[in-house]
Amino acid sequence: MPKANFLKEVFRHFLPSERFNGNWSEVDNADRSWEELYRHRWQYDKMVRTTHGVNCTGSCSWRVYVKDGIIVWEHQAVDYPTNGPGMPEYEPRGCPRGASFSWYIYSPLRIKHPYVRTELLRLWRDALGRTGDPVEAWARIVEDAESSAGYKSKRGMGGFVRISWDEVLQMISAALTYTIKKYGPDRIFGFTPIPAMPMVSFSAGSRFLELLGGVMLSFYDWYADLPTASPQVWGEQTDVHESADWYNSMYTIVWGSNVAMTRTPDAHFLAEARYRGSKLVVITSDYTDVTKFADLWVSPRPGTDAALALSMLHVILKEFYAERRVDYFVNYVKKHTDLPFLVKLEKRGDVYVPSRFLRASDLGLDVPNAGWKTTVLDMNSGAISVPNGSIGFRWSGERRWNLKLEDSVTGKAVDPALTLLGAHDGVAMVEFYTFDGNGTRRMIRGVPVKTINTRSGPSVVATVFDLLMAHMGVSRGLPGDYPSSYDDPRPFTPAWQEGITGVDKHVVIRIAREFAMNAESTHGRSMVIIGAGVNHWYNSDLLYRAIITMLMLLGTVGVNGGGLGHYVGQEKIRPLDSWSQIAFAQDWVRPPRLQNGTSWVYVHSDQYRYEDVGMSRMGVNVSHEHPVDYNVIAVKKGWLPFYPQFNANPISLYRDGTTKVDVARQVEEKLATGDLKLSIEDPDSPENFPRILLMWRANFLASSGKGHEYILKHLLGTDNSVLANEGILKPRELTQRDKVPIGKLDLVVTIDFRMSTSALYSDIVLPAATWYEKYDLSTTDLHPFIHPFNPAIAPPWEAKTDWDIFKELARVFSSMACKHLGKVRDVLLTPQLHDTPGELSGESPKPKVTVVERDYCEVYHMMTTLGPLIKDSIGTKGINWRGEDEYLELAKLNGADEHSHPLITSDKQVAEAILHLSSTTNGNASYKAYEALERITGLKLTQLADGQRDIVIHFDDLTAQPRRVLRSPIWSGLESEGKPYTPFALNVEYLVPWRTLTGRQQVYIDHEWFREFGEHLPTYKPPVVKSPFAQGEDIPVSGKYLVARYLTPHGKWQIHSTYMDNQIMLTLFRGGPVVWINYEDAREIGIKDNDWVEVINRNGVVVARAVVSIRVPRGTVIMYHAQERTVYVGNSELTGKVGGTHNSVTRVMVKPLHMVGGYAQLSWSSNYYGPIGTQRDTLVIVRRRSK
Amino acid sequence: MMMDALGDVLWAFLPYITIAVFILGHVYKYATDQYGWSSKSSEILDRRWLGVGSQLFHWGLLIVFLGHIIGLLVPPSITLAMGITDEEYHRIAIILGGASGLAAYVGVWILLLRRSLINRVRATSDASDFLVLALLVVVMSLGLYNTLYYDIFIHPFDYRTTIGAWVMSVLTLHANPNYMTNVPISFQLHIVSTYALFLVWPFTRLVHMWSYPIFYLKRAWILYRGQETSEVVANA
Amino acid sequence: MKVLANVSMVINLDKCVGCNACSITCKNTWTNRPGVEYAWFNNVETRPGIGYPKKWEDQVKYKGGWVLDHGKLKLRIDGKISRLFRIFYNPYLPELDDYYEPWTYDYAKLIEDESGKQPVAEPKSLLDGRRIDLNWGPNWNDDLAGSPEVASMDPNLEKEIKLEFERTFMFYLPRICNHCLNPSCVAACPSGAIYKRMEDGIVLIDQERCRGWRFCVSACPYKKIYFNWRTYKSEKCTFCYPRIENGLPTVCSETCVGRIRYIGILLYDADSVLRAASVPDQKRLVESQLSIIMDPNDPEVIKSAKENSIADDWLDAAKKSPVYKFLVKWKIAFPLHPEYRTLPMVFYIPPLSPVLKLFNGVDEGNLSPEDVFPKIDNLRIPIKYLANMFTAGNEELIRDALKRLMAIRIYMRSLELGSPNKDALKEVGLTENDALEMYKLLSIAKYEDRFVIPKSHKENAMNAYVERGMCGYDEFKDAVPELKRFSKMSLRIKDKNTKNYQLQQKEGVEFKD
Repeated sequence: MPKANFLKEVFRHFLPSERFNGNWSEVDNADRSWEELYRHRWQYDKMVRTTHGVNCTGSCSWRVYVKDGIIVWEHQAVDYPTNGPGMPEYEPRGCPRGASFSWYIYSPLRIKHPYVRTELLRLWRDALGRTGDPVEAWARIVEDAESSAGYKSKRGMGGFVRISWDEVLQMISAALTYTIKKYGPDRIFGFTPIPAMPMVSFSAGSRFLELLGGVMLSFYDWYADLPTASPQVWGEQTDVHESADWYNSMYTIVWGSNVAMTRTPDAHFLAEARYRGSKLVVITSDYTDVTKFADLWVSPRPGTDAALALSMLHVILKEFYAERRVDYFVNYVKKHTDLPFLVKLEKRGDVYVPSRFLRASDLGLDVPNAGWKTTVLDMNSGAISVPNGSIGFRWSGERRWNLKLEDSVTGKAVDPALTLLGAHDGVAMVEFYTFDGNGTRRMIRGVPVKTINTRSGPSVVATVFDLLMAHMGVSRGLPGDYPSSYDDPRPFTPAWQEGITGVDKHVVIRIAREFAMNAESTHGRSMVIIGAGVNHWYNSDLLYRAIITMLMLLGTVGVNGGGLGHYVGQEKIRPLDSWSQIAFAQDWVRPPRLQNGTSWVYVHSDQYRYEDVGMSRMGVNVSHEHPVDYNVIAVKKGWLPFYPQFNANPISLYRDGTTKVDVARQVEEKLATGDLKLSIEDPDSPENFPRILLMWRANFLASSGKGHEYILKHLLGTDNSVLANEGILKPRELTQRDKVPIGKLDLVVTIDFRMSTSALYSDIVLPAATWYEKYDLSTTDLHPFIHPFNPAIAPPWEAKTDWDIFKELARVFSSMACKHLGKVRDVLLTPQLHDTPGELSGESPKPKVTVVERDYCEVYHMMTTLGPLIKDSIGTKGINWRGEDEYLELAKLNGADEHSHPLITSDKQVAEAILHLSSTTNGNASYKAYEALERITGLKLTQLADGQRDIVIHFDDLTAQPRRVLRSPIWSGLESEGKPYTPFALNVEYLVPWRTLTGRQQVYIDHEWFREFGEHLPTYKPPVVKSPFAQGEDIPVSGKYLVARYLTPHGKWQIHSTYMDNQIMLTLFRGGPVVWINYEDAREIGIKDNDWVEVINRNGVVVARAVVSIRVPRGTVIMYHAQERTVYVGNSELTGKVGGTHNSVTRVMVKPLHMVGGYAQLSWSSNYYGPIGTQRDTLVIVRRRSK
Repeated sequence: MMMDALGDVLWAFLPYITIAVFILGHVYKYATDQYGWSSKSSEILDRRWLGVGSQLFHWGLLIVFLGHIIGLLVPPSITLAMGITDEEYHRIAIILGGASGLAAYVGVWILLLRRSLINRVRATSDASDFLVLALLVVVMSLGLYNTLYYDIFIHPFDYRTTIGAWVMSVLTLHANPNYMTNVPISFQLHIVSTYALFLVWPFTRLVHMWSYPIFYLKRAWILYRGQETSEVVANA
Repeated sequence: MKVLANVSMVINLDKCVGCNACSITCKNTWTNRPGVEYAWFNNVETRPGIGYPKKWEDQVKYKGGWVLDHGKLKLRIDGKISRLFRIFYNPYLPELDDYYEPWTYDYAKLIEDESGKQPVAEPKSLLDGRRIDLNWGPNWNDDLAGSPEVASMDPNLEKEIKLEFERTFMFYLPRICNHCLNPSCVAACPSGAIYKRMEDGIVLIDQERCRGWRFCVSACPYKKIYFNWRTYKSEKCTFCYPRIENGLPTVCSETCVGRIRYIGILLYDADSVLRAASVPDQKRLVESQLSIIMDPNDPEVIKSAKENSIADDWLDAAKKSPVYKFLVKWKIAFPLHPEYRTLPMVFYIPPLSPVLKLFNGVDEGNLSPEDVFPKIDNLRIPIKYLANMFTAGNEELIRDALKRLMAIRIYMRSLELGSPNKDALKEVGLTENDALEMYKLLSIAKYEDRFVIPKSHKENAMNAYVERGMCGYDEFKDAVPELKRFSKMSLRIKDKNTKNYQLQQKEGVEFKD
């Protein structure tokens, strides 16, 4: 179509035109019709609300634009419900990583069809052709040593070929059926992280696996995202402020958390609070993005933060507790912390050591659970009192599990003595500990005590507060090894920390004072935002406890704008109650098999064989040197789970004619006699191998796979770069076999939409739908909304949603397993769980044995309908109610099968079920939950459900606009439009106890193991790794190199498991894996910006480009988390192989104290407690790659 | 007969076809494909050889072009009247035309080599870019051969009364192939290859020649454009 | 006086997270296609650093912007005639490598490889597909990567500013086209393809008329015009006019998670642009630019605006404009490099944070703990550095702006703590109302307050009555005579009619009086 006109174009130049601005400007008479060009680009066909299922904690609402049937771009939604007139809004939420997601949809990286590696496919077709039966065919492949080693050694080497869905599902089903039959269902493992980010997709596989008796691995602890101090102190996995509450803080310390980079959509609250007059202090060793917003930047040496925190605590105790009395603080700690509780002191030699809490049982009181009720000195009566609220009340049915300061026996008001000073009848010289590079350092300090009569005779007791004062070195005129002033370099003064952290003592004093004064004048609006920068250290819990103690002392916890905000991982599944039923098939079978990920990897990938960190220098008086010994003990005691359970098939232990109870007793007896052994006692024996690993929504091998090279070697049996020697430390509780197991896993399946490192190393890769192609739900702790996923397009090519994939697998598996397995009885071994009466197991701990029935013919039916167990009980965290009303309504909403089980055949129906059954999205359920909590606490709480009882949030409501979840007692915040979610508001405002031993926030941890390791009070321990290679190992490089601390924080251009390979994101920085290094260090070893470098230690080798910078301190190198080995990774000069992932130079190190269980808040529960997979303590050698 | 017929086609028929395609092609291109009307610069991709190549080529060609205009359209009588003898004219034409032709020739080779050898430029070029350069090389090779070899070493050829006259005859719509009868074959080939150039001209980057921005001199520095408006609104 | 409207933007660098969400959403919406994949209409630079393209501020190399030559304003790349002579080759044009060679990866290899070794997706050029090694990109020195070598080449750095760990400072500088009042790209375009839109001041490159001469690329001192190597035409940020026309903010603004961008209307005197750009002392350029930004409440200004067909809702928007408040009322926003004399219409609030020089103990003296905020002159970012960037070296302006920002913080803190302290406000000449309003706009920053964008009056530009049914049927439009565009010829008729009408009105009023 003609668009221009010759004559007009030529002659318009001769027409008069308007000129102005001194002839400088002119109105041209050319036309503007071309402007339609860009208008056409902007026009689109539809906009779909969805979000991203990544563990970035964002959970942002996005609008995906579709034009001509193609997804073209995405922008953030800006239609969040308001935060009220005095607050910034959540709009917009989203970051560049999310904004670049649409790149994946049609990219060449997309997995478009099911794939299997050529070698395995050839073996499979051959075996199937010969046997005619798929299960026998699988047996033939894996039972033949040669063929099995053959296909395993090809893992990661490319060579994928397309396969049909039918054939691939048959193959996986055969492997599953064979494994169950031969070894047991507990040899089948599933890994998928972070259900909060898409709840349905997570549940797809977990539900399937739990229905067949498989095991789901935990992830939050394994990622080291779990702040173990949180369960230790609060009895809560993690509970933190929504980001809007940062705006309420008037003094914020950001500690080892790079909010600007990792919480991108929330960072504005921090930036905006400054204009409200809030001060921002940033404590990070390197100059991070968030430092840009700081009023003050403090840079301690990496891994020494706890020393800094402890000295702040020292200043606060001295100036705000010893020298002054601040009523707000004192009233707070008396009510909400264990500081006034009494601790027995034990005589050891000529000094005392702090021992267990003084309990009702010590006093000989005849009350229920007397051994679990702690005591205070009541100033009103002058006598020892057992106040309400300790854990004993939680399970005694007395309705006294509350924080009312009243005597549980007399009901009279109690005024607990915070200190015995003044009321003391003696001063005991007590031993305290800190640790430096060489081990324990003792301090003997005087503590005011009272001697009281107990059942076992006179006993010396002190309050936790007095112990803390002494431990922290605040003398109050008492004798002993106390520092004389802030300048005295004894623990824990500002001068003491200066030698450790390198931070000037005056800065520390000043921050401590400012922070405390701010809390005093604002009644607690002082906040610490903390994160992975410090949580990924081996002893991170000590740092956290130091900081939390400071926050408690200042009355900030549970106050809007105050307390601890730990942001590492998107752990908050707001509808946890309903989701956990569906995800683990608890509507059909209880209990599920859940395994803590860290122990599983540590043991099954044989990283324990390379252990070089002995426990004796970690503690005061430890029993075992090898950390794996503690793990074995913990499993035996029923503290930690471990699967496979036994060296026998758990479906073969049942004999006809015996009852379930008999079987359980039989199993216990066999375990005692040794007829039956726990797998963890002999993990490298083939009958104890894990056999199948299914991964979906996960990049287990690259992203979270600490000890990556060990995993490649022992679990996968393929090429690797392990450089370490075995056997430096010998375990005592576990048989370490001489025959090194290579390639334990028979089948590794990855379900993903992109060719990640995990996919590359799997046997089978299945094409998953992306987040723009399915229905799902997402929540985070950083905002109170629940977001939907909606499909903008149908899953392209042969991709399917996770729900459909597992549904189809269930269908194929059911018919195959029905023939081979039919109905069985399965013996389950589970640990004593938190929030169950098992947390009081104490004296004679042992695992729980349960027998359940499994009908393998029914797996598909159970997968796609909701089971009836929900009717009787639904709930979480020890709060349970009847779910019958909601269950019946759901049957109407979703439709039901012939037995009236509500249907969950589609992902949208699953989402609807989660919403309808949860107390966070269904007002009536919320009311019932508060009612349930009232029954335990004796408090009046149902008024909190007023005004929301009639609200039910449906899926389509969320699609119309983001919705705030409802208030529910399964969470401790009390959010509403004008009041952002702040954790523990329910505890502080409504006196609901914390789920801890004393029912209060716990400064003192009296468990025996904690005392052995010297961690009963917050203290300092330095980073544990001292050299890149262990003693006795040769350093394989020469020439110029640097030994540096190796940190793996989040990257700016990728977050978590799904982003490092995105072309747009890679374009915005260096285009591949990088290592940041200080400019002076770089100069010394001859590295220039963008040179290839090798990062080497005993665990393996990484090859990446150097980023030389002034913002990194000397002696530290930084490699962003979740760098794949698939994109622009060079070859190593040392090994000649492709450089690995960021985890190739790490190895899991487990901390025994995280294995303590069956002890109030210290009880295991999946992702709640357990050893965390830390990796910050790593040291590496860095050198330039010469070519 | 054959020769005559070929002569008619070549010198009386094809010129008009060429002119028609040339003019209508431009009109069509201008009217329908403003988005495709560009100088198609690749300077941003690589500049190293362009400073020399492009300038030699363009300036050289500009002078050669002017020379052709004078040589073909200005009758000898006028130059004679201006006091320039035929010999002088010839000398000037050979020296000036030869020099500028050589410059342009070197330039076009640089451009062609650049386009062929530099990865980025080659990869982003389309066939027409190579076609244009190839045609220019052919036309210019023949032109230079005629000017610098034939005219000097074989014998001077008086193209003004032959080719010039023919051009005038074509332009006055009385195309007379007879003028071309005795024109050396290399000159004929030069002209025929030029046809090809003119035929592809409207459909290639060559169109940018017409966009030489002389109106730039006339306008103010800062340009505004108002909202478009339609007659209906204007009269409303 | 000739009052026209210009949509303009304020970018609060103090709040910028440096995340590049703006860059990505812009790219995906506008430049995610061959030819401009290297072009980032919106990019974010880390400062100190050399930006994108490399060292774009080096006008000795690139010859961008205007210079004052014996009191006369002229383009740094020279006059019109020399342009015509240099049209065959432009030595001041940045090369692609000054931006970067766009790349992707051999991703398919990960699935298809059969070598028997672990496959790796290697980078390859998007221009010619060959495997390349990466050594530059659009954000290569993000977060001080490559410092001190790269960052020390920043032209704004003074010698005394040391780049070392203990003194590390950085901030981010998001950049789009500045939609200048005196755009040198418009002046340099030989084809007349670049123009400012009369109604909203947006500067556009007519993709039909662009002939690819590339002088705009050189002449733009901000290097915000990109040559599309596929279409051989220049392209640039369009201020998202398809959205702005509908009252929506630009993509980069709406998707900014730092919530740092503000969009509003400014009225300016189009008759005084030359004068304002020709002030001899470059340190007074900010002031002279402000002098031609008109007060939307001034009756004279309103009258002139109406004469230029500016509608009432636009005048209302101008009054509520957040840009006007930051720029004129509180004077805390500044143009980027005013010394280029293009009178840019995107303004920056300079970064206040990171505040303290203090590093691990080099304290600023004895302060009581109540004085939680440090003194402005103790900033981590040297004021001189900011002045070089935003005020052509005028440090006073920067210092005053930062003091105002700090005064807000001190005042608001005192309010929160219950004892209002007005001293800090007095010192910087702000009232409590100012302070509260600034707080609201800077901190609470609701969507409606950040973006005050009047909608276009399309009814004046087309026959909306007919267009309603024809909209989108572009191919059929020529068949509908009512929609035939008569462009400027008829515009003048319309203007004449409007003027007559206005004249009548005016006379009528006068008559009545």
